[in-house]
Amino acid sequence: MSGLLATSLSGLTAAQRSLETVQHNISNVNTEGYSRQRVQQGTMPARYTGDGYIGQGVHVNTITRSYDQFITKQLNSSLSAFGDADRYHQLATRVDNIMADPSTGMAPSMNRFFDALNAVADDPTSIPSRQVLLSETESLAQNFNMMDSRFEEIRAQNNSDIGTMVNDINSLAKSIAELNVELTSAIGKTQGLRPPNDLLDKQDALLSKLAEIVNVSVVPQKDGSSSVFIGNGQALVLGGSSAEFTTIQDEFDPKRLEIGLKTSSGITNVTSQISGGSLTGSLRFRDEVLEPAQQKLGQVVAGLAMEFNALHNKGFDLSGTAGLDMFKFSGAEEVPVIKNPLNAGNAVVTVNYQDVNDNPSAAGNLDYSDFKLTYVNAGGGVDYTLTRVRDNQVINLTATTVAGISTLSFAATQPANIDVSALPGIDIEIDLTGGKTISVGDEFLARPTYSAAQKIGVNIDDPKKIAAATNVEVDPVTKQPVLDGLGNPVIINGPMPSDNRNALQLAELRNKNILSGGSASIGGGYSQIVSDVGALTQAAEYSSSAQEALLNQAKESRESLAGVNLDEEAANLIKFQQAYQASAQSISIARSVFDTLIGAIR
Amino acid sequence: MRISTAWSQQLSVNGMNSQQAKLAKLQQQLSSGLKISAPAEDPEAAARILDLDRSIAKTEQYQSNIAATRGRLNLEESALEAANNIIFKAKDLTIQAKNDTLNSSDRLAIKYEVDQLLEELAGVANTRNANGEYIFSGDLATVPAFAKNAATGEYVYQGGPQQRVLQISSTRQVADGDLGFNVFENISSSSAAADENGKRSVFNTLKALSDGLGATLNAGTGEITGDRFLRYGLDYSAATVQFDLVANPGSVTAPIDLSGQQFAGVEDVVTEINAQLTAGGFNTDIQARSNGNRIEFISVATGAASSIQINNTSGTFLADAGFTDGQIKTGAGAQTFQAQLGDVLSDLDAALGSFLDARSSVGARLNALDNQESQNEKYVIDTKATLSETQDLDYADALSRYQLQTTALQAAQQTFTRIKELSLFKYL
Repeated sequence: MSGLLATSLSGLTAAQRSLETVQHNISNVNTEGYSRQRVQQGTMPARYTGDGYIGQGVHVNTITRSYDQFITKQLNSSLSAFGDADRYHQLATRVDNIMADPSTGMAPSMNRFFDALNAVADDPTSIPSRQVLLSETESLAQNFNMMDSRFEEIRAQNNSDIGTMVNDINSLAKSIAELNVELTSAIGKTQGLRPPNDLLDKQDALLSKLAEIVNVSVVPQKDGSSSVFIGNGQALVLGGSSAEFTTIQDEFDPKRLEIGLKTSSGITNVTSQISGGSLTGSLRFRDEVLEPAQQKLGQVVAGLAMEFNALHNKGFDLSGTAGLDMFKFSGAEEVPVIKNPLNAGNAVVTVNYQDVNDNPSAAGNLDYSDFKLTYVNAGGGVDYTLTRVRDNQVINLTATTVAGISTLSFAATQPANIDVSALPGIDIEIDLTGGKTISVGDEFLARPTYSAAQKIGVNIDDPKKIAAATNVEVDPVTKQPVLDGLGNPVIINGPMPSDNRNALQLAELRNKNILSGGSASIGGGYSQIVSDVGALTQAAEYSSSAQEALLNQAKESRESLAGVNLDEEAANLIKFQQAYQASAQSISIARSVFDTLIGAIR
Repeated sequence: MRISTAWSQQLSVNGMNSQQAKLAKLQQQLSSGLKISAPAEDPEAAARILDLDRSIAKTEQYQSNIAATRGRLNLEESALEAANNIIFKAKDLTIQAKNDTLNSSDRLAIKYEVDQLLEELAGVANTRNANGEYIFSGDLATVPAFAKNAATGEYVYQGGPQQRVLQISSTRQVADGDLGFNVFENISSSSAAADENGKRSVFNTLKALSDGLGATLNAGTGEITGDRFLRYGLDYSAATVQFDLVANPGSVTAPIDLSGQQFAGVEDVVTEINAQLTAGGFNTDIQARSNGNRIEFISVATGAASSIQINNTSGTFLADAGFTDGQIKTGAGAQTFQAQLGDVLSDLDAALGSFLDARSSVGARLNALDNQESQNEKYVIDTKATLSETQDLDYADALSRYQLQTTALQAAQQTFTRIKELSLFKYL
């Protein structure tokens, strides 16, 4: 008799639990990362009687969440891939916009500069047109400066983002470790039989957030905690403890941040092991878009300055004196050289752009990269090596030392398969005077193109000093240059105000292919950067939208499995309500059965 | 397949977001009229636009160079025409003067008229353009092309040795004038008064006419003129430079030594050489003087018996000043009035020939400018068409896409509200 009541009661309880769970699902319909929960019911162990096994009703086994480890893994890896592609795309778009912006884009400014040069060639005696050329030169240099400073702003912003992301990784790792402790105790309470669903959801949410920043591998442990690893097994979270990331500055370039992992033995550089996530997007953007664009801009700027100055030096100004440099590079040194702080020696390295008048292909040899100079003293004419940082191509250099100053030249013996046959448009001098020393392994970083756009300025402020004339004496009848005894043209030693031949040649620089081994003009070099950045941004856009589609598929799979469908819940509501009503009804039946029996006795 | 409620909502929102993004993009295109707003949208086209822009800017600059050149050549053309008319008048006067029936006062009257013409011609040769540049002075356009030598009374060329050229296409340069030296001074002549290269300046021809009319029928001195531009002097501060000036070979040899000296201009060289000649007592036979930017040596004695020669002994003076070793010139004997006028007449014809050469050369250049201008114009038009194809928006296409996109967005919005209405809870 009592069994009747107990069985009905168990149905009532089970239906109530199910209704509660449905309500929990409904309440969390919009909760990010929530997995819908289901009550797992089971029959009570049957009671054996002489008639056989009598059912004893229902009981709630456990409450589970809809969860699939594979789908979650897929989602996290998609999050990492999208985080990477999306961040890269966003940042590349910013560079792309700078290139396109007519107020900062260099193309109009370069056109005006060359037009002004032509105007001087048309009218070399006119001070106003010379003044216009000076202002246009000034504004060209300023535009280069401005463009570079916008690149630097993006670099600074990116660096601060990298710092923020590293902090986020650390605080997420800490939360995951804390949650691991909670989970272990919650699961221990039920001997692992009843999962703490909402805590597990929270753990998944934290791992997803982490995956958005950086690709991690998650290894679930038996005790309910999750170990999190980065790269080739660098542990980020192990049980209740978490490691800490930090940003480290490059030894040569403090503006270049690397990622380090704090360990008991110090800080390990793990930059090369980082993959996926927005952190990787930021790092890749810096290495693939920002750095090359800035270096290539510097290549255009340095190439223009080298060619223009060389030609200008060969010309003569309105007062008949040889042309000064038109462009100058601010700062103590023309090409910045950074010394490795770990160098044992104290030699001083100076790097300057080569003079195009001495080496006509100097501007063409410029390369959009930093160069690392290392003292190797390997013998056989190989005293130094110069490493092109962008692809680590190494060339050998021979030192010629005169009075303590070593001058470096391209060595006779070179590694196989190198693609250059000269120094990259720079002269390198090592000062060993006054007892200065250099030790094998000492390193210096020369940056001929990196900051050229930032450092360029105009050297001349007097329009009369523009060297429009060549002063080459010409026979008025034959119109051929007069040659001296050595066969060189004779230079008139005084002002030739209406001579425009040098201005014509300067204006012709617009058409001359002077960059990249004579394959691109100044303007062409610039449009090359625009199309390079454009192509990278376009590819990033494609890859970002492809990754977004994949991410949406993964989200859809997860939502399909774990998301709450209100209609389904409404149906379940009805289902469990009916079960509840039925159980309640059977209690009432049990009561009336009981009453019948009591009545029969009375 | 289960669709979670939140996801179905998200899907609709994503759909509307992407429609709106496309609409915004179209709106941007429509308002700017440009296909591409950032290089990433079409990197190849973005670079091409820059290249085309550069090409157009460059060619338009060539067009303005052409305009400047044309203005200058037109000015030269009218100056040459004026010079031509002056020479015609001078020829008339010469023919008139040849008439034996004229007496000396008649000739003097003609002489004054010739003197006027000479001044007038000098004015034409020193024409200035709007920038104040002397158009016949070449690359020294800030100084008059011709100036009267106070000592000899001759007009000599003192402009630059080089004619300026302007760029009118990436491969073509055109001179924007002619040197006064070539037009007025270096004119071939067969007369006795021609210089050692067989040339005679039109100014000297007119001066000879004037002198003849003034009854000055002097014999000429021997003259040799260097053909190098010495306006800014010579620097022999670290050189040994010696040469001999020889008058009437075999009679007077004057050694000149300029070693270790520096001269700021042609006059300084002349002063030094004359000082050495005076010191050696040769100044009665040989003298140095300047001829514009050049240096000239003369035998003081006149007539065919007198001559001047220069011989190198050491150093580079001859090359620097434009003489050849052993260069010699004999003086001209005195001519009769008729013979002198005969030479003047033929030399005036030679001058007309020189002007004609210059004018036809100017005409040819003006033609070349016209040709190049229309080529450039066509190039700019073609390039602009290509540029427009590359960067300008096809409005018809964009507007129809805009229409379509608007409809799609409306459909997405309506579907969203309809779907949201469907819920089982409404029936509970």
